[in-house]
Amino acid sequence: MGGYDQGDDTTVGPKTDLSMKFDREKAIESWKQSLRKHQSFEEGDLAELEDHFRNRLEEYDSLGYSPRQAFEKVMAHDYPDIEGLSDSFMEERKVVHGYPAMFTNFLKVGFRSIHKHSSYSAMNILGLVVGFACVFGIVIYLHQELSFDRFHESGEDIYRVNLHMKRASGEIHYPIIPPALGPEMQANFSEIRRVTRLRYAYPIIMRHEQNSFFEEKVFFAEHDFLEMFSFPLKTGNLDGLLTEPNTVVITDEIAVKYFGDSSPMGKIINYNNEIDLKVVGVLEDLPDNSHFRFDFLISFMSYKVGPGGLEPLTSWRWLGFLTYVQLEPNVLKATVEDKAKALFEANNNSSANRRVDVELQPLHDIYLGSTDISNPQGGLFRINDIQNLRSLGIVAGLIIIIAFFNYFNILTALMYTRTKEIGVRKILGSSRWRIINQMLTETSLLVFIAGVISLVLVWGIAGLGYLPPVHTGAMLWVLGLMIGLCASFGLINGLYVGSSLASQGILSLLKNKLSTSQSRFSVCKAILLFQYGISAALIMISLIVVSQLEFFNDKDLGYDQDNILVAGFRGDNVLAKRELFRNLATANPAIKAVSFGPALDGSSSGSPLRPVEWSEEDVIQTAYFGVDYDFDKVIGLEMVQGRFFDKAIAADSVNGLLINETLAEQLGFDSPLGRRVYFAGAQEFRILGVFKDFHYQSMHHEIGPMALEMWLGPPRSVLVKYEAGAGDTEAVKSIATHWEETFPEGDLPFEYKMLTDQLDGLYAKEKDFALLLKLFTGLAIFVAVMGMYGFSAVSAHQKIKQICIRRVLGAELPQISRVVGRDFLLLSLVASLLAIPVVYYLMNEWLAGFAYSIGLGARFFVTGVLIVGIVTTVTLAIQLRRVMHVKPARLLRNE
Amino acid sequence: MSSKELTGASTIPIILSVLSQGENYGYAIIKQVAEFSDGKLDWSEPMLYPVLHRMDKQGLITAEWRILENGRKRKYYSITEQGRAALADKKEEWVDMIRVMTQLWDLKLT
Repeated sequence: MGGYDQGDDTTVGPKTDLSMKFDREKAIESWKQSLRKHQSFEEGDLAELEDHFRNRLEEYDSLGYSPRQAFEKVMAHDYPDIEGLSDSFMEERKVVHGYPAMFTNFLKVGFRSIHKHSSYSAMNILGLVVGFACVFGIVIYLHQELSFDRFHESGEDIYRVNLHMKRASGEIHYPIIPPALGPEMQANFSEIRRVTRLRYAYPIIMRHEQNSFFEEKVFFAEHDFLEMFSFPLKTGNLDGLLTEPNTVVITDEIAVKYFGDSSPMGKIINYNNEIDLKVVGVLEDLPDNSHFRFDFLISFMSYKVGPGGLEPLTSWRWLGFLTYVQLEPNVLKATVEDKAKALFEANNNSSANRRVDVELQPLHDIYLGSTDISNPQGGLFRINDIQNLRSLGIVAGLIIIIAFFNYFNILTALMYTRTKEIGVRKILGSSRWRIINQMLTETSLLVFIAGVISLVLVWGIAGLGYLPPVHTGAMLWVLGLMIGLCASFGLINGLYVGSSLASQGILSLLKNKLSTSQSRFSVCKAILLFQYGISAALIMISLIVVSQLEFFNDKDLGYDQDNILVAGFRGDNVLAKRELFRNLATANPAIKAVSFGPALDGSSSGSPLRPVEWSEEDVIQTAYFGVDYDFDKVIGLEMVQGRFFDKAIAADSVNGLLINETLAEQLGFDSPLGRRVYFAGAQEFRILGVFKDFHYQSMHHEIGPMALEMWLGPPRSVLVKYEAGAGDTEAVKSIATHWEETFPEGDLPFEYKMLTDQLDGLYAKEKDFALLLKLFTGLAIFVAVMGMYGFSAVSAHQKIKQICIRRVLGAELPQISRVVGRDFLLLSLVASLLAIPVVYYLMNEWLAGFAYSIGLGARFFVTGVLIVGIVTTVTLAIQLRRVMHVKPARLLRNE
Repeated sequence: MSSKELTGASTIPIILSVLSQGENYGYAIIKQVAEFSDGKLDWSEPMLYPVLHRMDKQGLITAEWRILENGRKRKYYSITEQGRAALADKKEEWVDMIRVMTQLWDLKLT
């Protein structure tokens, strides 16, 4: 309204003005100022309206009214509704320009409308920004995950050779295969263009002059590796690379780490105090979407089977080499697989009793298609579960749906506040098309503002490193998606709201009574129901995922993982120092025990096992660790039958074997103690004891048959158990001191992890996933709450007259809250209940993927329903506070 | 008198008729219309000015700013040739309409 208090005397006839002196010019000036706030008036319009105003004043003057009364008369008679006046000027401006001018005008009106309904607009834009940003973020992430290994030029023809073993104890897909298979395939099959083998070097010390580091990503690779895969060289020549013994290719990062600014070419890096390697090439750092993780590629002919290695490089039994083949174009992989199986069987005389398939796994499938493939060295290559990507994709879809409905709801509700404006436009001759057009422009404008903001936001987040780097491909995807989303959001909503308003009669618009208002509100409620449902489902799903992960953390692994430090202890020359370190460390009262052996990082070796009296047909695939005499003390291994290895009994280290309960059960003997079994290359072992099952790999896998043998050869790691009271920092400090005493030359760097941290790493993917899920769930709920808040605000606005009258009649807060809140609480409750069966079904499937999982207790669902209920109540309470603060008299007059 | 719809339909012919008698400004046009209709047509300001502006853009009328002796600015409107042609068309339509109505309702027009 005009911003002037019109006083109470405007309807009375001429009378003397007794009040203080009235400054008419000042009043006119301030009236003009109030018009200027509306951008619809141009200066010319103001001058014309002022002329009109003065003419009117003169007319009242001549009738004998006082200056104040005349002014108030004009205000009341000619300018009762400046908003309406402004709208009609704005509407007029849109008529009879060319289309571009009309469009500009729509934009102006659009901006004005956004400004006018600023709180709803902000809510709308915020909801959309959050929704869009989530989806863009997820798209960038998914794009990255789906682009793995796509940058190799011959990628379509490259396969990894896996063995698929079907044994009585279960099926295993193995990506590391015997060293003889690859070269024999190349020699015999014309379909194969290239073969390359890789041998993992395990964590190892690399040294250049005084700089030595523990390196985990070291491989021996054949020359064809760099021909087959497109890892660009920064320095060096591809021809003849890795064909010479004792040469190495390193990544740029390593070049800087070892050589700083000077050129690494021709320089020497020492491998494990054994071999001097000449640097012959530097690779660009690996793209972040490569399943390979390597820093060093040593020429394959530098590889020597170490002491204790049972098989030569021509072995058909030693499962130890990654092998990749590149087929000639248009060759069917099944043909090669069949021939390879025949070749494998022909050369492996013990294979008659195994059912083994040779599988060619397409390079492009490795990253996302390897969850059921053993990954024996843990971090040898990167993999992800396609299931996680699907879940994220679904979450993105849900967020988009929520954001869309959210927008739709607020907009539809807002429609009710704009009926008068549209009515005036119709009187002024706005056509149906023009009203639709205007609504389209307004909705699209809002959506595009949100789109651009979210784009900038996501770019920023990616720039800060919280998202994968945004490559051109991902950028195009996101841009396309933004345009598509904005266009469809704007179009659908604009058309719906515009045509609904345009189809209304002028009178019903002016009276603010939309003919189908009831049904339209029902549509909004149905949508709200859906939104609540999705939010409730997301909350419940998050609760379940998080609980499952906590379950991992809390579940008893079957051994004591606390106060154990794991450090790399590798290399033949450190073997001699082993006992020195053990003696120095165990002399310290703060250190309980030291054991050299497995790193307990989820990886293990595997071998078939069968009792001597069984036929060759029956073998049990058994995982095993090579351990020393103190392994049981370090991890608190519990013996169920028999005994642990004994230093005093020499035979223990030759043919002693300990088995776990699962293996004991599968063997089925009354007492397995003293039984003889063939194990690890058909040697004969004697079972000394049965130990309690423990989780030697991640909890995705069930505990399988497992054995421990004595291993006094070169270890990989050392496990140090320290006293709980000592404190981690103190313990690490004293262990470091003993380390320095053992290696005064610094020839073995002290690089360690706490066992608990290392075990956490086994569930890193789930943790990342849970974090993402929590984040997106939070945001989805936020968007849904915004929608609910907006909708309840508008619906309260709708009921404001009713509320005010009730308040005037003496209604208190409880009655009022019933008017505003009942429907919403009921909706949220029904929606949450509807979500339960869907979540139950989905999460049952998800949990089935874990060997050990929490049950789907009622608590998740009850908590979900409660959270939705509480959020709804709080939102409504805020809304109610607003309504209760409004003065009924003011509002009723407004109406 | 006059429903919104009827007002909407008759505004332009009425303005054109007033201006066909000579140039004029907004306030005077409103006064004149009120006078002719014995106060039955009381156009409020929001209605008239935007309509005048639109007619200007459509080429039915032209507008011109003048400075009055007391220094005030006033915008005068006058009818164009196109406006006169449009008025002739409208006049025909309205006369036909009135004839039909009077015959149907058997009214005598004084």
